Amino acid sequence: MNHRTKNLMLSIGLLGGVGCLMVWGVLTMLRDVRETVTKPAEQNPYQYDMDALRKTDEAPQAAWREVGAIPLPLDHPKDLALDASGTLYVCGGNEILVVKNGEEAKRIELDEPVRCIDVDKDGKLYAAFSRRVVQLNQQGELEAEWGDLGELAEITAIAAGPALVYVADYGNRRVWKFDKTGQLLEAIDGVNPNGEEQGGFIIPSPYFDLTLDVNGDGVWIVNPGRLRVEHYTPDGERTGHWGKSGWEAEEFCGCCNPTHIVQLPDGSFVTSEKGIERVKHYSKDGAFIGYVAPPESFDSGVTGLALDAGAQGRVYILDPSWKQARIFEEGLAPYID
Amino acid sequence: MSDDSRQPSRRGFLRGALGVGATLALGGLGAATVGQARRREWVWQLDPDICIQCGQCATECVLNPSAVKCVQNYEICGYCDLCFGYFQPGITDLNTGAENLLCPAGAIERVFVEEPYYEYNIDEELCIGCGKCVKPCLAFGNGSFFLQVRHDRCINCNQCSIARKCPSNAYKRVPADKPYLLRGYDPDKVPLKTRRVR
Repeated sequence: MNHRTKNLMLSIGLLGGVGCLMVWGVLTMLRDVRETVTKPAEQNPYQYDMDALRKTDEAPQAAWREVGAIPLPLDHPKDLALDASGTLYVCGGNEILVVKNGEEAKRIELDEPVRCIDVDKDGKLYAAFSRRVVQLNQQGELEAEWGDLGELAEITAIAAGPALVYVADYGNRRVWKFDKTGQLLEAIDGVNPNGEEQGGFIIPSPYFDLTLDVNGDGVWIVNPGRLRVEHYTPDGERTGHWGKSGWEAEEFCGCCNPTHIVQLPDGSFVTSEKGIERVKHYSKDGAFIGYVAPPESFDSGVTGLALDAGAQGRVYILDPSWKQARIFEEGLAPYID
Repeated sequence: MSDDSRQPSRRGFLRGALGVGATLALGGLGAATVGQARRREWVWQLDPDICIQCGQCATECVLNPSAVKCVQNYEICGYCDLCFGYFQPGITDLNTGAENLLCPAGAIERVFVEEPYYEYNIDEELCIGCGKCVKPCLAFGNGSFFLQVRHDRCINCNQCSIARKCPSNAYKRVPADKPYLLRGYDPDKVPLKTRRVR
């Protein structure tokens, strides 16, 4: 074998080796692609079936229908409130958006992120930061700043009545009662003085809401860890409660629900929940009537469905996922395409 | 008589100084890069905000049981009586009978704290990293349960076999000196106070 033939065979051998390596590489790549892309997804043996919990087939369907929606160009919308004239206030970030007749009328800029808002019958606006409340006039000008509620305070809801303002504080697990000048009158801690139930308000996650009694008799406060709504007189005495934990449509599901509540002018209640995202309608004695908006109405995983009610009983739902105030009305025929 | 030829010219001096400076700068840069590369070792971790709890962390790891474990962030746990990560859906009685437990490996321990609060601890020897408890905790609670690659077990394969299969691309390389991605916790703002996971 001469030198030239030897070189030729060596070259052929090298080229063959490289070729084999390339073919092996391509085949491996194709196998990976087939495995990861074209192979049908295997059933997860550890699946937790949320859809089974969201089923609404057997629940009574109340005659509620979505009749409109108002876009909310705000960062992280948190709460909404309606005044007597139907003007809508929505807070998000450091701003309060004022919407009249479906159109943006004004933006009020504040110094800190606004957690929640309410409007009283005189049109005065109450906005809560994490630790304190500020009072604004109808033009959005600052009228008063109330005292700081302390290092632990995390205000989640505010309800302004004719003479009293109730402030729900998730951090301190209390509802603070103020007069309209900002004087702190009392703290409601939810602890039963008879000692039958310890713990007061149980708030595992940062949702702690309340709504004024429409007859002027105190306030309804959600005790989310006990999955119920409790009534307190203006003196801070608990007189009753409704709602129970469970997996059926009429019950509250999860560790801590409902997240939000509003009482309608006829005395009935509307609640919203997280986990199973739904808005439900209860009678004034807490009997389940039906869905206002079933779970299919919302994006999966959405939380913070704040509520308020208009004078005609329309329910406004803040949908932070869609960044809309969605409007629902009762008494209409079911929607048919 | 002065001997100017032995004295360096100004231009020559500057050229020499620049040369020495550039050499030192390049050398320093090189040393810094090598040092950085040595310090920056990378390990696999899954991002709990991207994880969809598909169950493949339990089945695809080269180790058996998997190096992925559920961890509990006590800072954000609600200490719920009805913990959806602990109990099966649909139960009516909150007792710790095996038929009521969600975890297929019985790896979650429920400890009474005070009425009505309970603490939940993960037994890592039993946990298989399936993430079944993670989804309901996230949906109904605060999301204090989440999956993490535990680096006292992980052998840090060059190509992680779970990462290859992860449908949501939740796996990423993270610096070995910051090997965990914890939900609800910003290490730059709050000192870590979570209890050591068993």
